[in-house]
Amino acid sequence: MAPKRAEKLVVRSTKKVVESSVLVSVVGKRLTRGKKDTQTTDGEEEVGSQEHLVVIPIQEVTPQAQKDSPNSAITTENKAEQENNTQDGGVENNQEEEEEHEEVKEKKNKAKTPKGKNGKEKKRGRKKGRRSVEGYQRYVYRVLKQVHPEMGISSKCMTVLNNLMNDMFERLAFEASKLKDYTGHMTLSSREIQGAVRLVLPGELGKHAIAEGVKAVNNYTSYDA
Amino acid sequence: MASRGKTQGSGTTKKGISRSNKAGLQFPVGRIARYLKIGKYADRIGSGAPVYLASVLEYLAAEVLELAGNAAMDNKKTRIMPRHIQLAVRNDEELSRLLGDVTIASGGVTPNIHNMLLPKKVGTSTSTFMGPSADDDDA
Repeated sequence: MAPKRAEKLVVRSTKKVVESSVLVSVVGKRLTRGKKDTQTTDGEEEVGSQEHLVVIPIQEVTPQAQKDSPNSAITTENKAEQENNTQDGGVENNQEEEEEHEEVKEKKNKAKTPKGKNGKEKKRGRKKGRRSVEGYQRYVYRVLKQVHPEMGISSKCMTVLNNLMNDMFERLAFEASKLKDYTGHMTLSSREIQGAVRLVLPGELGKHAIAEGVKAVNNYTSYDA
Repeated sequence: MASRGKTQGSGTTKKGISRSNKAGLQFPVGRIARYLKIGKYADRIGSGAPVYLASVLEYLAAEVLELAGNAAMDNKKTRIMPRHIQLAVRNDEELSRLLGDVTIASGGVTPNIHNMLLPKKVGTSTSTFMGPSADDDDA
């Protein structure tokens, strides 16, 4: 009884090896069959090979390439194991065939996608360029160079000032919009902006801001070129 | 038939001048006008409103940058950091009131310790402990 158990263990281990080798050898065999258009005695495998002939457009490969490829190198032992497996487990072969069909379909789908010069897949639409993010950064920098020509500014600091400008714009515009609604007008003019500046900016800051605004509007209206 | 567009009769091309240049400003008048239109603040926008608003924003930026630059110089730095903006804003009364409910990222706080929290000064005259008097001994 003991030696039989040992034999069973050996058989199981060889079966595992056979399964792994079948995966490699069957693929190679089919490829060679497809190229040579030969027929086999096994019915199931023949059907599978015919399906491959119908579905897959197979390229001609030189015999050297066949020798070099690991799939096509089939030893006599593997052939014997294949014959045993076709008798025992035809179901496994069918499953392998289905897997191969799925792989072939995926390859076909990949081949359909348009490719660029480098062989990479093209992305439809316009080319990806730099996103133009609008902000007050360049204008703040110009003002900084007017006020302190030798001074620099960090990026975090520029972000803080950009957010400050956006916040002040919203405050002033919202207040001017409310003033426009109170007076019943439809137009947001410099008069409403001036009222908003008076309300939002405190004390001397508001007075100086109004003076700057009036001066800018006068320059703008009196400009002739 | 009068020629329309930028080309005039003599063939010289008229170069476009921005509204910021016309008003003598650094901040963008056209962009601010677009923001006012997109924001639906009113059905119609006057031509003077974006000019006025751009000049006010430029004045505020100049004010903050000047004070922040001075704070950076006091710390012997040639680059303005958020800490310098925080010090500039909090040390100015009007800007502090304007930006009272604003948090500046990486700004820190102004150095301040309340007087009650400071240690008390040691008195100059030390009070001497008086021993028991002679009258007490007699009693």
